[in-house]
Amino acid sequence: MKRLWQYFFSGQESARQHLKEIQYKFGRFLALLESNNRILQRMSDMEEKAQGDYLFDRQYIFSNVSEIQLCVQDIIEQMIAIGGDDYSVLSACYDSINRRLESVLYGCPGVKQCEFAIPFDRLDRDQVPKVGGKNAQIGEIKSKLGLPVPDGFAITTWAYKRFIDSNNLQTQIAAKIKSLHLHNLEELERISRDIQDLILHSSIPDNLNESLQSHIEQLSQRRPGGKFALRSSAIGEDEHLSFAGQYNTLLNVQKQIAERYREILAGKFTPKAIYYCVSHSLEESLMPMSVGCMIMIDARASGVIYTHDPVHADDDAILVHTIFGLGKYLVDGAVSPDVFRLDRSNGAVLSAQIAEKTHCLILHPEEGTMDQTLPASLHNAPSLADDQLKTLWQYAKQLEDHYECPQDIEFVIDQENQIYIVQSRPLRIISEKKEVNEPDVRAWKTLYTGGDSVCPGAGVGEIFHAASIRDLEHVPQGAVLIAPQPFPGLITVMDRIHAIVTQTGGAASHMATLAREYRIPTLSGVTNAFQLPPGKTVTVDASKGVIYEGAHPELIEARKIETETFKDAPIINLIRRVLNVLVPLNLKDPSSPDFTPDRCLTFHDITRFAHQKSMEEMFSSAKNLKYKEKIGLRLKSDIPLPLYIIFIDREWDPDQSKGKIDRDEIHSKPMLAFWSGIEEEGWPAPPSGEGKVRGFMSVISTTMTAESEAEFGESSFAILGREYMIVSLFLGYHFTTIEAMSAPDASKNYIRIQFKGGGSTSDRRIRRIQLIDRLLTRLGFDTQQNGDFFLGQLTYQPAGAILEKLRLLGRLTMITKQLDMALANDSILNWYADDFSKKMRL
Amino acid sequence: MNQRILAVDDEIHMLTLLERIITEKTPYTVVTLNNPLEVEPLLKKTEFDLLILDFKMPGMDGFDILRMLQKNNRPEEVIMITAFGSVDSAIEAMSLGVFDYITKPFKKELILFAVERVMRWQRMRRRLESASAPLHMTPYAEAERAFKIQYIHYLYEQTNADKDEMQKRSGLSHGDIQDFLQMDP
Repeated sequence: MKRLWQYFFSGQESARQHLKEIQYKFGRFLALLESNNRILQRMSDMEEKAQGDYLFDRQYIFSNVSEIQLCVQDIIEQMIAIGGDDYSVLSACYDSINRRLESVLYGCPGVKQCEFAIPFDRLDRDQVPKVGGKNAQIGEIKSKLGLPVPDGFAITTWAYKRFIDSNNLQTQIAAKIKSLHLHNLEELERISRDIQDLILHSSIPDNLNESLQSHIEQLSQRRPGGKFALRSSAIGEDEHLSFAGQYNTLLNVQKQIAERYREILAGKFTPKAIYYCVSHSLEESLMPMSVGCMIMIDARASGVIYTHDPVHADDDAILVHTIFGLGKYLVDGAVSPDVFRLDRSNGAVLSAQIAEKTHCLILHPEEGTMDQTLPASLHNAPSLADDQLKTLWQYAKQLEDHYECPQDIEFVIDQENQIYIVQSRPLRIISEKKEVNEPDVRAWKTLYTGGDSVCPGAGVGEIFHAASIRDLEHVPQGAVLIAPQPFPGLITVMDRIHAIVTQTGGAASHMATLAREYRIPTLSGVTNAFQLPPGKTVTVDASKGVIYEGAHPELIEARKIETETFKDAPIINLIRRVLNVLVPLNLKDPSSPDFTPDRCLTFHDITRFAHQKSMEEMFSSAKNLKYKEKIGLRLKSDIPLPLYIIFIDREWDPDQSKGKIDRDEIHSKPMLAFWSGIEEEGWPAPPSGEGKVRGFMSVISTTMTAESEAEFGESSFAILGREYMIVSLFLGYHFTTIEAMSAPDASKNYIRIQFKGGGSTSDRRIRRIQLIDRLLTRLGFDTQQNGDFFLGQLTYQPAGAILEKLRLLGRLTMITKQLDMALANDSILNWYADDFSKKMRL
Repeated sequence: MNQRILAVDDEIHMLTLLERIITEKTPYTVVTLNNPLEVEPLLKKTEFDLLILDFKMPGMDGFDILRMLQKNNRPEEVIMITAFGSVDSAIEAMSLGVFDYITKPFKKELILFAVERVMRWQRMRRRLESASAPLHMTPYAEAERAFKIQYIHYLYEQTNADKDEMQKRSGLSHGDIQDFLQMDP
């Protein structure tokens, strides 16, 4: 007797432990969904900001990234807790993605060892981290395009680091910056002078000095003359150090190059730069510096080419501005330049505006530069000859083609009329200063107003209805796609549609981020979207939430202009580069063999992977639950189905003496919805098969297998929480598992249904799967089938839609319970599909 | 008169965006400073219609600058921008006489509307100040003369510089009109 009690209690204890495990996993699962949700919201918020319609600062990017990092770490932790150590590979993925992210965010992950100096002809644009933007571009122009640039070399960031380290300057500079009390400008200027002095009085290490001397000698042998120009070439100038433009250039340096190099380095510590470091808590050591040393060109003329007119965007001409002498007077605005407009197609001079030029800047015979009065004969003479303009036109075209965007090019012409390119950088085209031409929409017929902008912009096209992935293969080029929600398959047509309109699904879904990545104007929450007739031409204004009848291409233009102002702004570039590491989704299809952790290339991939796998893990651990009868309460119902219920959010009561539960005691919203569908349909009688099939019992007797026999005795069970359910139903010869979440936040919600087995022959079972597949597809599920195994999944639906679909699933479960017996051929399948669709109003 | 804006933010990227949007979408001139310590010396040299200030900046924050403006009785209005959109700092900013208060990140239109409201207010304020200036003048003849100058300049605008029409409406002589138009209101 004692042993019997022990056995009973140990069984109780195991059951209790098992329930605790499930409850623990469920808690982790909820936490994972919460983090998943927060990540998607943050990403979606950042993507919205990246469209160019908002003003924001670096802090905004940093705080969002840091929340996303924390949530991704949390997701990995939860995933390991739910599914075990197999998922710890995600941590390695995280680290690798995070390294890329930090290099985008902070620009310079430490200085890498390399030579102290590198000649320009060995450089290209990939070497920005070593030699800074300016030097790398000069190298690129020389090595990739073969255009003439002044001969010279770059003194690398490694040289800078060597100089700083060998003098122990880092600690001293940091101490000075730390001692700064930011009360007035004088204090800031004093610290700036102190640091500059410190650098000017530090010695250049021997090996660095030798390397510099050797490069100078080689340069002097190639280009005798002994005159050089030194200029700073900052790292991460665009996104990170916007004050970099202030750095020094020294012209016509003839001796003591190493000392002058120090001057350029000291020039980095302007009061502005120091303030920037302090206000952004930046380590000065994160901002190494490279310097370019090049032959000083004795300029007869200098100038700037704009390969497009920066203020008159519609003017297609190439603009050349030139003055006599060195270019400094031009960029400082000290002298008005000659302006030539060149025909883009053939370089012909369209117009020449010759300015009066009385002065120019020339090289001083000893060092530096000096002003010179021009002879009267040159005052109104063009500073360039026609053949030089022709050559510049060719160079401009080559540079623009190479960099694939308009360029701002600086050039110099020496006394022998040889042209040199000294810089080329992207040119920002300022959109016309006119107001955005908001089209007059008063005469347009409005078909719909409302919805949420998932991706702003406007698109014109013919309406195409896509209820499910199956419809997508027929999507015509340039369609306006109407879908129930942004379902995963949409990715396959994104390159050929002009706009997306969905009934449900907000800005924070995996697919919404894809729409933004492809820049497809997308409007969601258009409840009656499917009432828009197929084939009708419409214009979707996804920025303002309006759908107009007919084609209004002017609206596309108007919406495009909205984003022009901030195009190419460094902060927009930064957020886009950050998003590029966070958002692009590579894991698109969970059934693909590529859906593996090592294919996670972005945080979005990790999130997507963990979301999918956590659902699968919960699914399988619920299905494999032991001691169901011990820990479950049997549901009292007229439906003759033994169903045991386990509550995930209620303490287990060991004294469950009654062992039964009423429907009224169920608090789970999804279960109540599902069960109401089951009750609505009631327990069905075996199908008659329209007289076309053999009797029910005869089918069973010929098709029952050992496997299905085993299942016959299984009890059905449900694990329930207030907003969660997983129900495994063993209905005779097949089992169905349905899992659902119906939280207030649509991005947490989903329904997952698995269906397998049956008592009939294989062809009939497959027909039933096809029938279920068709019906669920109409309900908006993504489906896959493999033989008689079926998996359907629906995500990102509001709670109301989830509950309604669960009710329909309850009905469908009853309707199709033993239908495989009846599905003798495809025409019967079609008949049932239509009949059920009508009955269920699909 | 060209209306002018000074934007101060330690975040240079924010200044770039502000400068672009204001330059491209409004007729106003914008000057930017990334170091708030440079504000006071600059204000000693010149005047603006509007200061757009970041709330949180090391050394001197938006409130410090606001207090400095008030202490010196400056004519500039302030739009405060902050990432910390707490009710408390909003109330404090408003109680200190901030014209508008914007929380980062914000839409382009939001700053454009706020700027436009300030500029319209500044134009009205100037007109009101100059219209009421004669009231404070003594003796009466000075006030009358000041009023007459204003009156004629206003009429000049109203009639699109049609001097015959000005004469007809005002009943003043051609010579009077000519003389007073030469004088600054």
